[in-house]
Amino acid sequence: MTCSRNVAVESLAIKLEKLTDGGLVVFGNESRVGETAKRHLLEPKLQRQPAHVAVEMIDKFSSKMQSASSELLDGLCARQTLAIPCKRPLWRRAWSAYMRQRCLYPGLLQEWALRVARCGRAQVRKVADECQSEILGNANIILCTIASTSRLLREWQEVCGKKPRIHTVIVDECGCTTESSTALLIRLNPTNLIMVGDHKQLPPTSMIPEKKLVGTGHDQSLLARCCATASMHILNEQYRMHGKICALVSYQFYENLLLTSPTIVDDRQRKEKHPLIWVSVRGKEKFLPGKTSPVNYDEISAVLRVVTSLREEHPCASISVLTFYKGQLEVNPLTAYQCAGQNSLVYYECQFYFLGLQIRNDLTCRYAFVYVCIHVCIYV
Amino acid sequence: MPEPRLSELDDSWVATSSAAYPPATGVADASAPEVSQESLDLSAQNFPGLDQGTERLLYHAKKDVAFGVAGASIPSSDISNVSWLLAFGGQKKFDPFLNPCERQLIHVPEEFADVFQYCSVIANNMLVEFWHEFRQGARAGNFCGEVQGTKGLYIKGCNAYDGMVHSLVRISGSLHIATAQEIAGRDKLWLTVIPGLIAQGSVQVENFGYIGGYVTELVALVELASRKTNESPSNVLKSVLCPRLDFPGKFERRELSPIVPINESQRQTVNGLTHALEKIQGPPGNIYLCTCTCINIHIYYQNEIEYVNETVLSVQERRGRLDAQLRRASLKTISHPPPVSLFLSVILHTQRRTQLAAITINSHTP
Repeated sequence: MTCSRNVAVESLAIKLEKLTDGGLVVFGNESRVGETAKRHLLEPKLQRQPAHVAVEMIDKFSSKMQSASSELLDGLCARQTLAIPCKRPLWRRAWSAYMRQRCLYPGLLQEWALRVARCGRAQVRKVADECQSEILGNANIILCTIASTSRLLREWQEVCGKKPRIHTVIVDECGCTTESSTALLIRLNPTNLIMVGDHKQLPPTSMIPEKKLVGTGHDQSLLARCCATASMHILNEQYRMHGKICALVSYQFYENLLLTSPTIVDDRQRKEKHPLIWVSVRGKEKFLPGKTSPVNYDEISAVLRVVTSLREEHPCASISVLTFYKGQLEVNPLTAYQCAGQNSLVYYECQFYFLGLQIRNDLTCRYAFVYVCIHVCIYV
Repeated sequence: MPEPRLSELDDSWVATSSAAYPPATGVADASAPEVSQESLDLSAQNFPGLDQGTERLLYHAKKDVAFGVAGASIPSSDISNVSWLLAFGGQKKFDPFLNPCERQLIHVPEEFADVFQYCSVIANNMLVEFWHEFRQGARAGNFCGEVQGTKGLYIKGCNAYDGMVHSLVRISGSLHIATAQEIAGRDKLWLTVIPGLIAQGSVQVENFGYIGGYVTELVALVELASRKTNESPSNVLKSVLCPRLDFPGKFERRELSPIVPINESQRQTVNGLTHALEKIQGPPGNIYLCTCTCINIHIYYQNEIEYVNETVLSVQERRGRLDAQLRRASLKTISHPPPVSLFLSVILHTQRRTQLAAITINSHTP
C-alpha cells in the first residue's frame, strides 16, 4: 500500500497493525514516519526477533574479543620494546626471537582472539541477513509512501537478492498524486493497481501558476485522467457532513450521488437544525496601495458581526474563517480566530466555518480568483 | 490540412504533417505529429492476446490521440523522441537538475500511444515543475560554508538535524547536489556534493531544497522508457496508457463475508474488483481507509477472519483458522542456529583465557 504522505502511512499502519501481527512491514525514513509505522520498520522488527538477541550477544562478545586482542598485542609490544637489553640490530633481532618464543602462548591467544572477533562479526551479519530475509519473506502487506518505493526496491534487493513480487498495489489519496509518481508504481511491477481517492478534492500541488496550468492536464492526477474516460467504483455513503451540507456538495460536485448514512442524518439533525447559512454581502473589492490581492471590507465586517454573536452563544467552540484572498487574510481583524489562506486548512476540523466565496460581479461570475471549481468543493 | 473529424478517420488516413517533438528547449507543439502505420500497430507488439474488437478500439484510440482529437498539441510517439530522456540514464540522472533550463508544458492527453510518449510527456512536465520551483530561488535558506578539498564543505549556521541530502545547493554561483551529510557539531554539517567543488575557502551556500523526489521520478521514467520495444507491457501499464480500456487483473473470485461490517457501496466495490487498474472514488467522509483495509483483507485473508466494528475495523479476539495459521507463521522466526550456541561457548572460554593472559603479560615486569 502506498500513499503520498507519511501522515496517511501512519493512519493506515494503525488500522493494519491490528490485522497483521508479523505481516506488516513499513519502509521509510525513521525520522519522518509516525510512531506506529516506526514499530514496523525493518530495523525495529529485526531488534524484536528472538534470533537477534543471540546476535547481540555475539556482537558484544566479538567487541570484547577485539579489545582483548588489542590489549594483548599492546602488552606484547610493550614488553618486547622495553626489555631490549641492547640497541644493536643483531641483539634486537635475537631478543625479539627469544621473546616470541617465550610469549608463544599469549601471542597465539592474541591471534585466536582476533580471529574469534572477526568470525563473530561475520556471524552477526549472517544472522541479521537471515532475520531480515525471514521478515520480508513473511510480509504480506508492505506500507510506504510512493517516494519510498525506491528504498523498498533497493533494500529488498539487498536483503533477498531479488525484486519483490507484488500482487496488488493500493494507492491511497490517489486524487492528489502526481502523474509522474506513476512510474515509481509501475516499477514495482504489480499484477493489479488499485487507486483510491477523490479527484474532486485536493489535486496534486504544483509550483506552476494556476493560469498556466489551465487546460494542460498537468495539474490532474492519474486518477482524474482515468476517471475522465473509464468507469470507476464510487463509495457514495458518507459519515462526516450534515445531511443538508452533503446534499449541496452532492448536487454541485458529485452528480447527486452522495448519500448520508441514516445514523448520521439523525445524529446531526438533533445537534444542528440549520447547518448551512448564506449571508449575502454586497461589498466591493478594493486594492490597498502596493498590494495585488483585493480586500472586501464589507464582507469582513459581516463576518465579524456573525462570529461575535456565535462566540457569545458558544464560548468554547472552534471557529474558522476561510478566504481565497491573501489581501483579505492580511487585513482581517479576526485575530482571535483562526484565519487561513487557500491550501492551509484542509486537515483541520472545526465546529464552525465561515467561507468567503466572493462571487465576482463581472460576466464570469466565478468564485473569487478560483479557476478550478474543485477548490470550492474542498472547502465546502 | 484541416484536422479530420473522429468519424472521418479510417485506416487509410495516415497523418503526413511533420513537427518532431522538441524535448529540451522546446515549445509545445501545436501541429499534428507524424504518425506511421507501424507506430499505430499496437496490438502486434505491445498488446498480444487481444481480440480483434479490442484491437480495433485501441487502434482508433491511438489514432484519436495522434491526430489531436483527444486533446491539443500532443507530441509524436516515435521511439527516437525518448532519446533526450534516455540521455539522463545512469550517472547522468542529476544532469537536468544541475543544468536547469526553461521548458514548456506539454498537454497531457487522456490516452497515450505508447510507453515512450508517456515517459516523454510526463518527464518533460516534471522538469517544467522543477524549473518553476528552481526559479523561485533558494527557499530553504542561505548559509556560510568552508570548502575543504573538492568533494565537500562544512556548512555553518544550519539546523544539522534538518538534513540536506539530495538538496540542490548553489555554491559560489555553481549548482551542486548534496549526496551525503555528517553532523560535525552544533549548527555544523559536513556536506559531500557532486560535481566536485572548484571554489575554495569561505563560500556562500544557497539551498534550493530537497529534489530527491524529482530525481527518483526521473530515474523511474528513464527506466520505463528504456524497456525493450518487443517487451510486452503489463496489463497495469496498458491501462495507465489507455484507461478507456479495461484489462483483466488477477483477483480471487470470491465474495466478502457478510459479517464484515461495511456499507453496501464499500462491499460492492471490494467484491467488484476485477481489472488490472481499478479506480475507487471516495468522496469526503466515506472512510475509504476502511475500504483499503477491506481490500487488504479480501486479498490476503480471504473470509476467514471475523470482525467487530469499532471506529473502522479491528480484529476480534477469536480469529479464524487461517488467521491462527498466519499468526503462527509470522511468529516462526529463525531459532538459534546450531553454530551460535557452539560459538558462544568458545567465545566465553576464549575470552576468559585471553583476559587472564593479558593480566599476566601486563603485570609482568622484566
